[in-house]
Amino acid sequence: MKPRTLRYLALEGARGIKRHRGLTFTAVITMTASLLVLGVFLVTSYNVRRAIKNLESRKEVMVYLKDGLQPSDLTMFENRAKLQPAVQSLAFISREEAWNEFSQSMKVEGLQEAVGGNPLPDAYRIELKPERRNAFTINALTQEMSGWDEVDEVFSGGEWVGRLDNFAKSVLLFTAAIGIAIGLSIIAIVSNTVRLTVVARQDLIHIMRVVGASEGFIRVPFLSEGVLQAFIAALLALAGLYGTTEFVSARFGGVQFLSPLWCFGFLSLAMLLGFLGSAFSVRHVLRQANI
Amino acid sequence: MIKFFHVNKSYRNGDGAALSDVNITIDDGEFVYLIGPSGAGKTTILKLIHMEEFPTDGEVIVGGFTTAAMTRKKILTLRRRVGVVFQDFRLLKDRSVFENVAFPLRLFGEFNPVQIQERVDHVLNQVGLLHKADRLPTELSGGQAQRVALARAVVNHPFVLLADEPTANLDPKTSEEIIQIIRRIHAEGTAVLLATHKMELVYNSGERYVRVDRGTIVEDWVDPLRGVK
Repeated sequence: MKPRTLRYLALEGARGIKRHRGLTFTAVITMTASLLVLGVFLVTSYNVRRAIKNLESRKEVMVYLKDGLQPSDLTMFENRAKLQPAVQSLAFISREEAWNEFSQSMKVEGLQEAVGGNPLPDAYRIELKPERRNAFTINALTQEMSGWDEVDEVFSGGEWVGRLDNFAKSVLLFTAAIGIAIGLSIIAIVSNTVRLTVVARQDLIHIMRVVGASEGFIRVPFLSEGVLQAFIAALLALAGLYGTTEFVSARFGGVQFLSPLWCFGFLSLAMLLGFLGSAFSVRHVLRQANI
Repeated sequence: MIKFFHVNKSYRNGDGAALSDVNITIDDGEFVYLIGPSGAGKTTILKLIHMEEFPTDGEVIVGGFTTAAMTRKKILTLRRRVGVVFQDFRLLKDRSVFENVAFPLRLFGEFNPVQIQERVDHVLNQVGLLHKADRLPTELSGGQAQRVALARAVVNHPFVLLADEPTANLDPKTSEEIIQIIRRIHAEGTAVLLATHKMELVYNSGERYVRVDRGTIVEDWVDPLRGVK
Protein backbone atom coordinates (compact mmCIF):
# COMPACT_ATOMS: atom_id res chain seq x y z
CA MET A 1 0.00 0.00 0.00
CA LYS A 2 1.42 3.36 -1.03
CA PRO A 3 1.93 6.03 1.68
CA ARG A 4 -0.41 8.37 -0.23
CA THR A 5 -3.11 5.68 -0.14
CA LEU A 6 -2.56 4.91 3.54
CA ARG A 7 -2.85 8.60 4.34
CA TYR A 8 -6.02 8.92 2.27
CA LEU A 9 -7.62 5.87 3.89
CA ALA A 10 -6.61 6.90 7.43
CA LEU A 11 -8.03 10.37 6.81
CA GLU A 12 -11.14 8.69 5.43
CA GLY A 13 -11.62 7.25 8.95
CA ALA A 14 -11.19 10.68 10.52
CA ARG A 15 -13.64 12.14 7.98
CA GLY A 16 -16.06 9.35 8.90
CA ILE A 17 -16.12 10.66 12.46
CA LYS A 18 -16.97 14.14 11.22
CA ARG A 19 -19.56 12.94 8.71
CA HIS A 20 -21.39 10.63 11.11
CA ARG A 21 -21.45 12.79 14.20
CA GLY A 22 -24.52 11.13 15.72
CA LEU A 23 -23.11 7.64 15.43
CA THR A 24 -19.70 8.79 16.59
CA PHE A 25 -21.27 10.43 19.64
CA THR A 26 -23.08 7.20 20.55
CA ALA A 27 -19.95 5.13 20.00
CA VAL A 28 -17.70 7.46 22.00
CA ILE A 29 -20.13 7.70 24.93
CA THR A 30 -20.50 3.90 25.08
CA MET A 31 -16.74 3.45 24.93
CA THR A 32 -16.20 6.15 27.55
CA ALA A 33 -18.58 4.37 29.93
CA SER A 34 -16.78 1.05 29.40
CA LEU A 35 -13.35 2.64 29.76
CA LEU A 36 -14.48 4.37 32.96
CA VAL A 37 -15.18 0.93 34.44
CA LEU A 38 -11.70 -0.15 33.37
CA GLY A 39 -10.27 3.10 34.74
CA VAL A 40 -11.92 2.70 38.16
CA PHE A 41 -10.48 -0.78 38.29
CA LEU A 42 -7.04 0.52 37.29
CA VAL A 43 -7.07 3.35 39.85
CA THR A 44 -8.09 0.85 42.54
CA SER A 45 -5.39 -1.64 41.64
CA TYR A 46 -2.86 1.19 41.23
CA ASN A 47 -3.55 2.36 44.77
CA VAL A 48 -3.56 -1.16 46.20
CA ARG A 49 -0.21 -1.83 44.52
CA ARG A 50 1.12 1.45 45.87
CA ALA A 51 0.01 0.49 49.40
CA ILE A 52 1.62 -2.93 49.08
CA LYS A 53 4.83 -1.39 47.80
CA ASN A 54 4.80 1.02 50.70
CA LEU A 55 4.39 -1.87 53.14
CA GLU A 56 7.08 -3.86 51.36
CA SER A 57 9.55 -1.02 51.80
CA ARG A 58 9.06 -1.56 55.53
CA LYS A 59 10.19 -5.15 55.32
CA GLU A 60 13.36 -4.88 57.32
CA VAL A 61 15.26 -6.92 59.88
CA MET A 62 16.16 -5.52 63.30
CA VAL A 63 19.19 -7.16 64.93
CA TYR A 64 19.62 -6.51 68.66
CA LEU A 65 23.20 -6.92 69.88
CA LYS A 66 24.58 -8.34 73.13
CA ASP A 67 25.93 -5.90 75.69
CA GLY A 68 29.62 -5.09 75.99
CA LEU A 69 30.70 -5.55 72.36
CA GLN A 70 33.94 -3.92 71.22
CA PRO A 71 34.16 -1.74 68.07
CA SER A 72 36.08 -4.58 66.40
CA ASP A 73 33.12 -6.91 67.07
CA LEU A 74 30.82 -4.41 65.38
CA THR A 75 33.12 -4.18 62.36
CA MET A 76 33.21 -7.95 62.11
CA PHE A 77 29.40 -8.10 62.32
CA GLU A 78 29.02 -5.49 59.60
CA ASN A 79 31.44 -7.28 57.30
CA ARG A 80 29.64 -10.61 57.73
CA ALA A 81 26.22 -8.99 57.29
CA LYS A 82 27.26 -7.29 54.06
CA LEU A 83 28.27 -10.63 52.66
CA GLN A 84 24.67 -11.86 52.93
CA PRO A 85 23.16 -11.78 49.41
CA ALA A 86 19.82 -10.40 50.63
CA VAL A 87 21.30 -7.42 52.50
CA GLN A 88 21.24 -4.06 50.73
CA SER A 89 22.44 -1.82 53.57
CA LEU A 90 22.63 -1.70 57.32
CA ALA A 91 22.44 1.16 59.78
CA PHE A 92 23.80 1.11 63.31
CA ILE A 93 21.42 2.39 65.99
CA SER A 94 23.16 2.95 69.29
CA ARG A 95 21.28 2.26 72.52
CA GLU A 96 21.27 6.03 73.18
CA GLU A 97 19.70 6.81 69.82
CA ALA A 98 17.15 4.07 70.38
CA TRP A 99 16.28 5.41 73.78
CA ASN A 100 15.89 8.96 72.48
CA GLU A 101 13.59 7.75 69.76
CA PHE A 102 11.62 5.64 72.24
CA SER A 103 11.28 8.31 74.89
CA GLN A 104 10.25 10.90 72.32
CA SER A 105 7.53 8.60 71.08
CA MET A 106 6.34 7.90 74.65
CA LYS A 107 6.44 11.60 75.64
CA VAL A 108 6.81 10.84 79.34
CA GLU A 109 9.08 12.95 81.59
CA GLY A 110 11.67 11.14 83.78
CA LEU A 111 11.15 7.78 82.14
CA GLN A 112 14.83 6.76 82.34
CA GLU A 113 14.94 7.38 86.09
CA ALA A 114 11.74 5.43 86.52
CA VAL A 115 13.07 2.30 84.80
CA GLY A 116 16.53 2.64 86.33
CA GLY A 117 18.68 3.50 83.29
CA ASN A 118 18.56 2.74 79.56
CA PRO A 119 17.50 -0.89 79.12
CA LEU A 120 17.72 -0.87 75.31
CA PRO A 121 20.52 -2.67 73.46
CA ASP A 122 22.59 -1.47 70.47
CA ALA A 123 21.03 -2.61 67.22
CA TYR A 124 21.34 -2.76 63.46
CA ARG A 125 18.47 -1.95 61.10
CA ILE A 126 19.04 -4.07 58.01
CA GLU A 127 17.48 -3.04 54.72
CA LEU A 128 16.91 -5.83 52.23
CA LYS A 129 17.27 -5.78 48.47
CA PRO A 130 13.79 -5.20 46.91
CA GLU A 131 13.78 -8.52 45.06
CA ARG A 132 14.65 -10.40 48.29
CA ARG A 133 11.88 -8.95 50.41
CA ASN A 134 9.97 -12.22 50.77
CA ALA A 135 9.07 -14.36 53.73
CA PHE A 136 11.42 -17.21 52.79
CA THR A 137 14.55 -15.03 52.56
CA ILE A 138 13.67 -13.02 55.66
CA ASN A 139 13.12 -16.17 57.73
CA ALA A 140 16.38 -17.69 56.46
CA LEU A 141 18.32 -14.51 57.28
CA THR A 142 16.72 -14.28 60.72
CA GLN A 143 17.70 -17.87 61.47
CA GLU A 144 21.24 -17.33 60.18
CA MET A 145 21.89 -14.15 62.18
CA SER A 146 20.33 -15.52 65.34
CA GLY A 147 23.27 -17.92 65.54
CA TRP A 148 25.96 -15.23 65.38
CA ASP A 149 27.97 -14.53 68.58
CA GLU A 150 27.30 -10.79 68.63
CA VAL A 151 23.56 -11.18 68.25
CA ASP A 152 21.13 -11.27 71.13
CA GLU A 153 17.88 -11.30 69.18
CA VAL A 154 16.63 -10.83 65.62
CA PHE A 155 13.22 -9.35 64.86
CA SER A 156 11.74 -9.45 61.40
CA GLY A 157 7.98 -9.55 61.91
CA GLY A 158 8.15 -12.90 60.04
CA GLU A 159 4.47 -13.79 60.16
CA TRP A 160 3.10 -10.52 58.75
CA VAL A 161 5.71 -10.62 55.99
CA GLY A 162 4.35 -14.01 54.91
CA ARG A 163 0.79 -12.72 55.06
CA LEU A 164 1.72 -9.63 53.05
CA ASP A 165 3.39 -11.81 50.43
CA ASN A 166 0.28 -13.97 50.11
CA PHE A 167 -1.93 -10.91 49.97
CA ALA A 168 0.23 -9.31 47.25
CA LYS A 169 0.09 -12.52 45.19
CA SER A 170 -3.70 -12.73 45.58
CA VAL A 171 -4.08 -9.09 44.58
CA LEU A 172 -1.91 -9.66 41.51
CA LEU A 173 -3.93 -12.71 40.42
CA PHE A 174 -7.23 -11.01 41.16
CA THR A 175 -6.34 -7.84 39.26
CA ALA A 176 -5.01 -9.86 36.31
CA ALA A 177 -8.23 -11.94 36.14
CA ILE A 178 -10.54 -8.94 36.49
CA GLY A 179 -8.40 -6.92 34.07
CA ILE A 180 -8.64 -9.63 31.38
CA ALA A 181 -12.40 -9.98 31.93
CA ILE A 182 -12.98 -6.23 31.67
CA GLY A 183 -10.66 -6.02 28.65
CA LEU A 184 -12.56 -8.76 26.82
CA SER A 185 -15.92 -7.22 27.60
CA ILE A 186 -14.67 -3.86 26.35
CA ILE A 187 -13.52 -5.46 23.08
CA ALA A 188 -17.04 -6.92 22.73
CA ILE A 189 -18.69 -3.56 23.49
CA VAL A 190 -16.35 -1.63 21.21
CA SER A 191 -16.77 -4.24 18.50
CA ASN A 192 -20.57 -3.98 18.65
CA THR A 193 -20.47 -0.19 18.80
CA VAL A 194 -18.10 0.09 15.86
CA ARG A 195 -20.28 -2.39 13.98
CA LEU A 196 -23.02 0.27 14.03
CA THR A 197 -20.75 2.66 12.16
CA VAL A 198 -19.51 -0.06 9.82
CA VAL A 199 -23.02 -1.20 8.94
CA ALA A 200 -24.07 2.41 8.41
CA ARG A 201 -21.30 2.75 5.84
CA GLN A 202 -21.79 -0.44 3.88
CA ASP A 203 -22.10 1.68 0.75
CA LEU A 204 -18.47 2.70 1.17
CA ILE A 205 -17.40 -0.93 1.64
CA HIS A 206 -19.40 -2.01 -1.40
CA ILE A 207 -17.96 0.68 -3.66
CA MET A 208 -14.44 -0.08 -2.48
CA ARG A 209 -15.00 -3.73 -3.34
CA VAL A 210 -16.46 -2.89 -6.75
CA VAL A 211 -13.49 -0.75 -7.74
CA GLY A 212 -11.03 -3.46 -6.71
CA ALA A 213 -9.98 -2.56 -3.17
CA SER A 214 -8.57 -5.40 -1.12
CA GLU A 215 -9.89 -6.19 2.36
CA GLY A 216 -6.79 -4.50 3.74
CA PHE A 217 -7.73 -1.27 1.95
CA ILE A 218 -11.30 -1.55 3.14
CA ARG A 219 -10.30 -2.10 6.76
CA VAL A 220 -7.99 0.92 7.12
CA PRO A 221 -10.66 3.68 7.38
CA PHE A 222 -12.66 1.70 9.91
CA LEU A 223 -9.59 0.79 11.96
CA SER A 224 -8.42 4.39 12.05
CA GLU A 225 -11.95 5.48 12.97
CA GLY A 226 -12.15 2.88 15.77
CA VAL A 227 -8.73 3.86 17.15
CA LEU A 228 -9.58 7.56 17.03
CA GLN A 229 -12.95 7.03 18.73
CA ALA A 230 -11.27 4.93 21.44
CA PHE A 231 -8.63 7.64 21.92
CA ILE A 232 -11.29 10.34 22.40
CA ALA A 233 -13.24 8.05 24.73
CA ALA A 234 -10.09 7.27 26.74
CA LEU A 235 -9.32 10.99 27.15
CA LEU A 236 -12.87 11.59 28.38
CA ALA A 237 -12.66 8.60 30.70
CA LEU A 238 -9.33 9.82 32.11
CA ALA A 239 -10.82 13.27 32.71
CA GLY A 240 -13.78 11.67 34.50
CA LEU A 241 -11.48 9.46 36.55
CA TYR A 242 -9.28 12.38 37.49
CA GLY A 243 -12.28 14.33 38.75
CA THR A 244 -13.60 11.36 40.69
CA THR A 245 -10.21 10.57 42.22
CA GLU A 246 -9.72 14.18 43.29
CA PHE A 247 -13.19 14.22 44.83
CA VAL A 248 -12.65 10.95 46.74
CA SER A 249 -9.18 12.03 47.80
CA ALA A 250 -10.46 15.36 49.12
CA ARG A 251 -13.22 13.61 51.07
CA PHE A 252 -11.44 10.53 52.36
CA GLY A 253 -7.76 11.07 51.50
CA GLY A 254 -5.14 8.53 50.50
CA VAL A 255 -6.32 7.89 46.92
CA GLN A 256 -3.92 8.87 44.16
CA PHE A 257 -4.62 9.37 40.44
CA LEU A 258 -2.72 7.22 37.93
CA SER A 259 0.88 8.16 37.25
CA PRO A 260 1.68 9.60 33.76
CA LEU A 261 3.08 6.20 32.77
CA TRP A 262 -0.15 4.46 33.76
CA CYS A 263 -2.17 7.14 31.90
CA PHE A 264 -0.09 6.51 28.80
CA GLY A 265 -0.65 2.77 29.24
CA PHE A 266 -4.40 3.35 29.65
CA LEU A 267 -4.56 5.43 26.43
CA SER A 268 -2.52 2.84 24.53
CA LEU A 269 -4.66 0.00 25.85
CA ALA A 270 -7.86 1.85 24.88
CA MET A 271 -6.55 2.42 21.34
CA LEU A 272 -5.56 -1.24 21.10
CA LEU A 273 -9.06 -2.24 22.21
CA GLY A 274 -10.54 0.17 19.65
CA PHE A 275 -8.34 -1.37 16.97
CA LEU A 276 -9.30 -4.94 17.91
CA GLY A 277 -12.98 -4.07 18.22
CA SER A 278 -12.98 -2.44 14.78
CA ALA A 279 -11.01 -5.30 13.24
CA PHE A 280 -13.55 -7.85 14.53
CA SER A 281 -16.57 -5.88 13.38
CA VAL A 282 -15.21 -5.09 9.89
CA ARG A 283 -14.27 -8.73 9.40
CA HIS A 284 -17.73 -9.77 10.55
CA VAL A 285 -19.49 -7.31 8.22
CA LEU A 286 -17.28 -8.24 5.26
CA ARG A 287 -18.03 -11.92 5.77
CA GLN A 288 -21.74 -11.39 6.30
CA ALA A 289 -22.17 -9.02 3.37
CA ASN A 290 -20.17 -11.22 0.97
CA ILE A 291 -19.55 -8.24 -1.30
CA MET B 1 -12.31 -10.03 -24.84
CA ILE B 2 -14.91 -11.76 -22.69
CA LYS B 3 -15.74 -15.43 -23.22
CA PHE B 4 -18.20 -17.75 -21.50
CA PHE B 5 -17.54 -21.48 -22.13
CA HIS B 6 -20.41 -23.79 -21.17
CA VAL B 7 -21.02 -21.85 -17.97
CA ASN B 8 -23.40 -23.21 -15.36
CA LYS B 9 -24.14 -21.38 -12.18
CA SER B 10 -26.18 -22.48 -9.19
CA TYR B 11 -26.48 -20.53 -5.96
CA ARG B 12 -26.20 -22.42 -2.71
CA ASN B 13 -29.68 -21.43 -1.52
CA GLY B 14 -31.23 -20.85 -4.92
CA ASP B 15 -33.98 -22.79 -6.63
CA GLY B 16 -32.42 -24.57 -9.56
CA ALA B 17 -29.72 -23.23 -11.87
CA ALA B 18 -29.22 -19.48 -12.31
CA LEU B 19 -27.38 -20.12 -15.59
CA SER B 20 -27.32 -23.22 -17.80
CA ASP B 21 -24.70 -23.88 -20.46
CA VAL B 22 -24.10 -20.23 -21.32
CA ASN B 23 -21.70 -19.52 -24.19
CA ILE B 24 -21.02 -15.91 -25.20
CA THR B 25 -18.10 -14.08 -26.76
CA ILE B 26 -17.82 -10.31 -26.51
CA ASP B 27 -15.03 -8.74 -28.52
CA ASP B 28 -12.91 -5.80 -27.43
CA GLY B 29 -14.76 -2.54 -27.90
CA GLU B 30 -18.09 -4.23 -28.68
CA PHE B 31 -21.49 -2.91 -27.54
CA VAL B 32 -23.85 -5.66 -26.36
CA TYR B 33 -27.25 -5.44 -24.73
CA LEU B 34 -28.13 -8.18 -22.31
CA ILE B 35 -31.89 -8.41 -22.24
CA GLY B 36 -34.46 -10.53 -20.50
CA PRO B 37 -37.05 -10.39 -17.74
CA SER B 38 -36.19 -9.97 -14.07
CA GLY B 39 -34.57 -13.09 -12.63
CA ALA B 40 -33.49 -14.33 -16.07
CA GLY B 41 -29.79 -14.38 -15.11
CA LYS B 42 -28.53 -11.03 -16.47
CA THR B 43 -27.05 -9.86 -13.18
CA THR B 44 -25.43 -13.27 -12.64
CA ILE B 45 -23.67 -12.92 -16.00
CA LEU B 46 -22.38 -9.46 -14.98
CA LYS B 47 -21.25 -10.77 -11.58
CA LEU B 48 -19.36 -13.59 -13.27
CA ILE B 49 -17.54 -11.09 -15.48
CA HIS B 50 -16.75 -8.93 -12.44
CA MET B 51 -15.79 -12.14 -10.60
CA GLU B 52 -18.04 -11.45 -7.67
CA GLU B 53 -19.35 -14.93 -8.44
CA PHE B 54 -17.68 -17.97 -9.99
CA PRO B 55 -19.21 -20.58 -12.29
CA THR B 56 -20.31 -23.88 -10.85
CA ASP B 57 -19.16 -25.45 -14.12
CA GLY B 58 -17.46 -24.08 -17.21
CA GLU B 59 -15.12 -21.14 -17.54
CA VAL B 60 -15.29 -17.38 -17.90
CA ILE B 61 -12.37 -15.48 -19.45
CA VAL B 62 -12.23 -11.71 -18.97
CA GLY B 63 -9.41 -9.66 -20.44
CA GLY B 64 -6.89 -12.48 -20.10
CA PHE B 65 -8.06 -13.57 -16.64
CA THR B 66 -9.78 -16.93 -16.35
CA THR B 67 -12.07 -18.08 -13.57
CA ALA B 68 -10.21 -21.39 -13.68
CA ALA B 69 -7.07 -19.81 -12.24
CA MET B 70 -7.96 -16.75 -10.23
CA THR B 71 -6.30 -15.56 -7.08
CA ARG B 72 -7.56 -12.86 -4.75
CA LYS B 73 -4.91 -10.49 -6.09
CA LYS B 74 -5.83 -11.17 -9.71
CA ILE B 75 -9.51 -10.52 -8.95
CA LEU B 76 -8.62 -7.09 -7.55
CA THR B 77 -6.44 -6.32 -10.58
CA LEU B 78 -9.30 -7.32 -12.89
CA ARG B 79 -11.82 -5.17 -11.00
CA ARG B 80 -9.61 -2.13 -11.42
CA ARG B 81 -9.93 -2.60 -15.18
CA VAL B 82 -13.70 -3.10 -15.23
CA GLY B 83 -16.22 -0.29 -14.76
CA VAL B 84 -19.57 -1.05 -13.13
CA VAL B 85 -22.79 0.92 -12.78
CA PHE B 86 -25.93 -0.16 -10.97
CA GLN B 87 -29.56 0.83 -11.20
CA ASP B 88 -29.43 2.41 -7.74
CA PHE B 89 -26.31 4.51 -8.58
CA ARG B 90 -24.51 3.65 -5.31
CA LEU B 91 -22.92 7.01 -4.78
CA LEU B 92 -21.33 8.06 -1.50
CA LYS B 93 -23.85 10.57 -0.24
CA ASP B 94 -21.46 12.20 2.19
CA ARG B 95 -19.09 13.66 -0.42
CA SER B 96 -19.26 15.83 -3.50
CA VAL B 97 -19.74 14.70 -7.09
CA PHE B 98 -16.04 15.38 -7.73
CA GLU B 99 -14.96 13.25 -4.75
CA ASN B 100 -17.27 10.40 -5.78
CA VAL B 101 -15.67 10.28 -9.20
CA ALA B 102 -12.14 10.75 -7.84
CA PHE B 103 -12.64 7.96 -5.28
CA PRO B 104 -11.20 5.07 -7.36
CA LEU B 105 -8.21 7.22 -8.32
CA ARG B 106 -7.46 8.33 -4.77
CA LEU B 107 -7.90 4.83 -3.39
CA PHE B 108 -4.86 3.32 -5.02
CA GLY B 109 -2.56 6.33 -4.84
CA GLU B 110 -1.42 5.97 -8.46
CA PHE B 111 -2.21 9.53 -9.43
CA ASN B 112 -1.12 12.88 -8.08
CA PRO B 113 -3.70 15.59 -7.34
CA VAL B 114 -3.14 17.34 -10.70
CA GLN B 115 -3.68 14.11 -12.67
CA ILE B 116 -6.79 13.36 -10.59
CA GLN B 117 -8.18 16.83 -11.28
CA GLU B 118 -7.58 16.43 -15.02
CA ARG B 119 -9.10 12.96 -15.25
CA VAL B 120 -12.16 13.78 -13.14
CA ASP B 121 -12.78 17.03 -15.02
CA HIS B 122 -12.55 15.12 -18.30
CA VAL B 123 -15.12 12.45 -17.39
CA LEU B 124 -17.44 14.93 -15.70
CA ASN B 125 -17.34 16.97 -18.88
CA GLN B 126 -18.03 13.79 -20.86
CA VAL B 127 -21.22 13.15 -18.86
CA GLY B 128 -22.14 16.87 -18.86
CA LEU B 129 -21.84 17.46 -15.13
CA LEU B 130 -18.65 19.47 -14.74
CA HIS B 131 -20.72 22.38 -13.44
CA LYS B 132 -22.10 20.17 -10.64
CA ALA B 133 -18.71 18.98 -9.39
CA ASP B 134 -19.16 20.55 -5.97
CA ARG B 135 -22.71 19.35 -5.40
CA LEU B 136 -23.67 16.47 -3.12
CA PRO B 137 -25.41 13.43 -4.67
CA THR B 138 -28.54 14.27 -2.67
CA GLU B 139 -28.84 17.50 -4.65
CA LEU B 140 -28.96 15.66 -7.99
CA SER B 141 -31.81 14.15 -9.99
CA GLY B 142 -31.84 10.41 -10.72
CA GLY B 143 -30.45 10.93 -14.21
CA GLN B 144 -27.68 13.17 -12.93
CA ALA B 145 -26.79 10.67 -10.20
CA GLN B 146 -26.52 7.92 -12.80
CA ARG B 147 -24.27 10.12 -14.91
CA VAL B 148 -21.99 10.59 -11.89
CA ALA B 149 -21.96 6.81 -11.42
CA LEU B 150 -20.99 6.44 -15.09
CA ALA B 151 -18.19 8.98 -14.69
CA ARG B 152 -16.86 7.07 -11.67
CA ALA B 153 -17.05 3.79 -13.60
CA VAL B 154 -14.95 5.07 -16.52
CA VAL B 155 -12.52 7.42 -14.75
CA ASN B 156 -10.00 4.56 -14.51
CA HIS B 157 -10.23 3.88 -18.29
CA PRO B 158 -11.74 0.37 -18.01
CA PHE B 159 -11.66 -1.93 -21.02
CA VAL B 160 -15.26 -2.89 -20.37
CA LEU B 161 -18.23 -1.12 -18.79
CA LEU B 162 -20.82 -3.34 -17.11
CA ALA B 163 -24.14 -1.55 -16.70
CA ASP B 164 -26.77 -3.36 -14.65
CA GLU B 165 -30.18 -1.87 -15.45
CA PRO B 166 -28.76 1.67 -15.50
CA THR B 167 -32.06 3.15 -16.67
CA ALA B 168 -34.44 1.09 -14.55
CA ASN B 169 -35.29 3.96 -12.20
CA LEU B 170 -35.37 6.67 -14.88
CA ASP B 171 -38.06 8.12 -17.14
CA PRO B 172 -37.84 7.43 -20.93
CA LYS B 173 -36.25 10.78 -21.78
CA THR B 174 -33.58 10.51 -19.09
CA SER B 175 -33.02 6.86 -20.01
CA GLU B 176 -32.30 7.92 -23.57
CA GLU B 177 -29.81 10.52 -22.32
CA ILE B 178 -28.01 7.88 -20.26
CA ILE B 179 -27.85 5.53 -23.25
CA GLN B 180 -26.39 8.33 -25.36
CA ILE B 181 -23.67 8.93 -22.77
CA ILE B 182 -22.89 5.20 -22.67
CA ARG B 183 -22.66 5.24 -26.46
CA ARG B 184 -20.17 8.11 -26.27
CA ILE B 185 -18.10 6.12 -23.75
CA HIS B 186 -18.26 3.16 -26.13
CA ALA B 187 -17.20 5.36 -29.03
CA GLU B 188 -13.97 6.09 -27.15
CA GLY B 189 -13.10 2.38 -27.26
CA THR B 190 -14.62 0.89 -24.12
CA ALA B 191 -16.61 -2.32 -24.57
CA VAL B 192 -20.10 -2.11 -23.05
CA LEU B 193 -22.34 -4.82 -21.68
CA LEU B 194 -25.64 -3.27 -20.75
CA ALA B 195 -28.27 -5.36 -18.96
CA THR B 196 -31.83 -4.13 -19.27
CA HIS B 197 -35.40 -5.35 -19.34
CA LYS B 198 -36.49 -2.31 -21.40
CA MET B 199 -36.74 -3.95 -24.82
CA GLU B 200 -37.72 -0.68 -26.49
CA LEU B 201 -34.22 0.67 -25.85
CA VAL B 202 -32.74 -2.28 -27.68
CA TYR B 203 -34.73 -3.35 -30.68
CA ASN B 204 -34.31 -0.23 -32.76
CA SER B 205 -30.73 0.45 -31.72
CA GLY B 206 -29.13 -1.83 -34.26
CA GLU B 207 -26.72 -3.07 -31.61
CA ARG B 208 -26.08 -6.70 -30.84
CA TYR B 209 -28.26 -8.10 -28.12
CA VAL B 210 -28.16 -11.33 -26.14
CA ARG B 211 -31.52 -12.45 -24.76
CA VAL B 212 -31.50 -14.48 -21.59
CA ASP B 213 -34.44 -16.39 -20.21
CA ARG B 214 -34.43 -18.68 -17.18
CA GLY B 215 -30.67 -18.88 -17.19
CA THR B 216 -30.16 -19.80 -20.81
CA ILE B 217 -29.25 -17.78 -23.90
CA VAL B 218 -32.32 -17.88 -26.12
CA GLU B 219 -31.19 -15.40 -28.75
CA ASP B 220 -27.91 -13.79 -29.78
CA TRP B 221 -28.73 -11.23 -32.45
CA VAL B 222 -26.12 -9.34 -34.46
CA ASP B 223 -27.04 -6.93 -37.22
CA PRO B 224 -26.12 -8.82 -40.42
CA LEU B 225 -25.00 -5.55 -41.93
CA ARG B 226 -22.65 -4.75 -39.03
CA GLY B 227 -19.31 -3.79 -40.46
CA VAL B 228 -20.89 -3.14 -43.83
CA LYS B 229 -22.71 0.06 -42.80
